Amino acid sequence: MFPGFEPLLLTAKLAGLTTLILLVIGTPVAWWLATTKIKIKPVIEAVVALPIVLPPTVLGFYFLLILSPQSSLGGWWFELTGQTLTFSFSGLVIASVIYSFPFVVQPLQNAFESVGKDMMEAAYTLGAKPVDAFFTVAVPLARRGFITGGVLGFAHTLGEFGVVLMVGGNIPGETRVVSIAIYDHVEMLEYGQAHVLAGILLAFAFTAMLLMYVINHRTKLRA
Amino acid sequence: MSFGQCSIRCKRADFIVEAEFTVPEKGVLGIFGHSGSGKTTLLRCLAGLEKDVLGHIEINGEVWLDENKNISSQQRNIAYVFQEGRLFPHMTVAKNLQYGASRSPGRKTNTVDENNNGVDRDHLLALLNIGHLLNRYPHQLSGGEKQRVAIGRALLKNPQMLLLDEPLASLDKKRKQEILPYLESLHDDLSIPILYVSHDLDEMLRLCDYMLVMEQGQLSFNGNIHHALISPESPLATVENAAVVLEGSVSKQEKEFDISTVHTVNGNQFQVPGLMPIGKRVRLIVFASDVSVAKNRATESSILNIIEGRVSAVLDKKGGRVLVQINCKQDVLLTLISVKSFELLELFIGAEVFIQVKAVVTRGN
Repeated sequence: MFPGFEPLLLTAKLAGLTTLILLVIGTPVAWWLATTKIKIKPVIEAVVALPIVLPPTVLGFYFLLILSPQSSLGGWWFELTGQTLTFSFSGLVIASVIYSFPFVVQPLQNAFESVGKDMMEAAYTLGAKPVDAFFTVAVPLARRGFITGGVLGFAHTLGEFGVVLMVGGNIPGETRVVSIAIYDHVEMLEYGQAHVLAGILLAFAFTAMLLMYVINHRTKLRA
Repeated sequence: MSFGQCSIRCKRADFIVEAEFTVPEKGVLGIFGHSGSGKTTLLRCLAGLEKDVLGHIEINGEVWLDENKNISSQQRNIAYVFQEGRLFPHMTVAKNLQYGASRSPGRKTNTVDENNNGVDRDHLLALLNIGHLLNRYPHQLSGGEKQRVAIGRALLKNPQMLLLDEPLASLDKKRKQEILPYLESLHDDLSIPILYVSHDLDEMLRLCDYMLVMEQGQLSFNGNIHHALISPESPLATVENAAVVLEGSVSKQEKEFDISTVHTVNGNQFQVPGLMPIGKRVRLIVFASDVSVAKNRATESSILNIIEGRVSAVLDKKGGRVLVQINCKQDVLLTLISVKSFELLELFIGAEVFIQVKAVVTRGN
């Protein structure tokens, strides 16, 4: 295979894994945020939204500190696996999950909020236990949130650059994702290769957005 | 004969809802009140949908609420019909109907057939006329169809108690008239108690056997429908509401006039428009404004129903009108007449009168 495509595969793997983890972790968090009456909810929402506004280098800087073998998390991981979290694929996954967290949680939270408690109450009075009602009523009714959150989480992870540069560096096959590869190509004035990768990313991003809007439009018509 | 005992106290931000009542074994218990009177909150407490509730609820020998517990909705074998229906928009009518049925506590044990509330699926679909809607989605249904499906979905759960929260309030008058007959036939078909919340007295008159009247979160009357309408202490026995209901059965048909005669259980006779099968049990609603009083029996009158009675009480007086209670044998009727007529006729408690009943509304299955 053309070696220039290796970063593409790595990026797809990173974005796919990150999105999967985010849907699993983000769903209960979004549900909790949508239903809780806790007073400090705005504080938690602000923390969740932080990655949207923080410069990626700032995030990356903190990740570097937290993930390094000198820190408790990084040290524990090193003890366990013999590998560092910094400058590794695993570290990138952890950083990406946090970096893209709001892009999955916010659409899900909005979707759950619009499901509202009315339909859940109806399910409860019909004998459904909370988990049952969640999967048979809340999740199907919030499907637009899952589509939007999944696509945004994937696409946003795809485009990350600053964070990767800070914690992952530029190790081929391990942390050299597309955005880094494009940067390298441009640095070395290899505009041809940069064009190919940038073009693929552009086409993919457009297709993903188009797909999301088409699906959301359809589900809106059906609901 | 009581099926359940409830003593409920629920604190809301702006007021407290408090009520103590018994749930009958069968029949419709109406919870009547104006909006904001706490009637829906009361029903929600009973359904386990309110968290901050104190008191004691015991239904059919099972404690649902006491100082230690407030069991969840899904543990209470009830069914609830919401004002807006709340059908699941992502499921067909068939799936909506199935949702409660497949989660009914009686499903796994073999009790569905024996412990049946008197309704099986096919019969219910026919009764509510929703059999032809099974493959549609809720957004393809009219408001009236949605409510009928919501009622069907609730009943297919095979609950031991049915709670209805203003099921007709979101419908226009025409749709309301379309659904009321279904509710009336449920009243006769079901062997479980029905709790019916409404602010519409007309619905209450047609459906209820017992009534709770709520005012500002407090229970202001608790008793059977007859007492609710004629007791001096009832907030309903006023100039504004004033009606009575009488139970009876059809004793005669006159095809050429399209008129039926109803014999009340207390031995009075009323002729009512429409042909109904002889022997059929019906409920008559007599509005006080449709009853006039005379000292002598009118010999030539367009009014068919002229009945002898005795003035038994004056219940309310407002805006130049007076609400008078009249006993005819054991039936109690109300008449709403002007204060002037009352004076001119020289009426007093104990006076013998003839009442002319112009219109009577019937209900039956």
